[in-house]
Amino acid sequence: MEPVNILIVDDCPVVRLIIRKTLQLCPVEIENITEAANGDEGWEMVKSHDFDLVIADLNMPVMSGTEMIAKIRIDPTFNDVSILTVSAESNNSRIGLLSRLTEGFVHKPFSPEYLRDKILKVLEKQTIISDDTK
Amino acid sequence: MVKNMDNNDVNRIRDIALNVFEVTCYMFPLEEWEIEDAEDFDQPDGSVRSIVHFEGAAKGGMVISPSNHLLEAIAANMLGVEEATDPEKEGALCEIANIICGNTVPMFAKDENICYIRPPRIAKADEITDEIFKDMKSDKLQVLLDEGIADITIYYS
Repeated sequence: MEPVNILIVDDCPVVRLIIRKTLQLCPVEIENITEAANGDEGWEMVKSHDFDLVIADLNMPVMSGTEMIAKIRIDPTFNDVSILTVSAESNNSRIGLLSRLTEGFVHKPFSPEYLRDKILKVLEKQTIISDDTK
Repeated sequence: MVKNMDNNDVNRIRDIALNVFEVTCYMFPLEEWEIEDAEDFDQPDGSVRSIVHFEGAAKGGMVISPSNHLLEAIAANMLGVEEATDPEKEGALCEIANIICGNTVPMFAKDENICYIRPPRIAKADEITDEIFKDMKSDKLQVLLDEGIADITIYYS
């Protein structure tokens, strides 16, 4: 697996730090971890960087994660970017809708091990897909 | 019109909160034989409170007020540090409030109506939450954990 670039989008610095620490548990080579504090910052980062994975919260000020994800998915430039949402959202229809737009959903509360496994699953799936298209 | 909560609903919120503290902060509920030890714990004094507003299927908010020792332990355990800074403590508390509220609001959602929760915030020192949510129904509960006590108030209409 190539070294990966990851964007964490969450308005809570504590959560960003927890996710960053969880990423250190992943047996993958990480080139860079970038952080954004809301969907708007995240969208700007996505446009100006080359990310393999975006880990995003949904409930954020300025621009929600849902809005940011919609912007990413509408633009074919970012078809290769995988998205994992991490949220306390509990409504099944909203989770179902999100699952069609993203590669995974982690419901809060989560253990670091569970999040690590989900991240690995998304990255592994992404590698398989990009290998197939080569 | 949202119906009044009964004891089962309040107990459900308590269970949700206990699960969130356990999974996120590695804290455990006091067992029955330990509850009298809770009398020695400092009580929440309301000096640091997190508020989460919600709207949609129901309108209201949740306020979480931990004891000082619990507040320190929440942040320290979430971050895996000895001592957290004040902003870290507030951020950690807001995240806990966000998760508990996010898992609670489906109780109000009927017929596919959705509750949308807003980003949590720390209440100002002189903010009276009963005033913010006046004319709403409210229920209060307390969670007793091995690291301290948290008061939770849910307002809804």
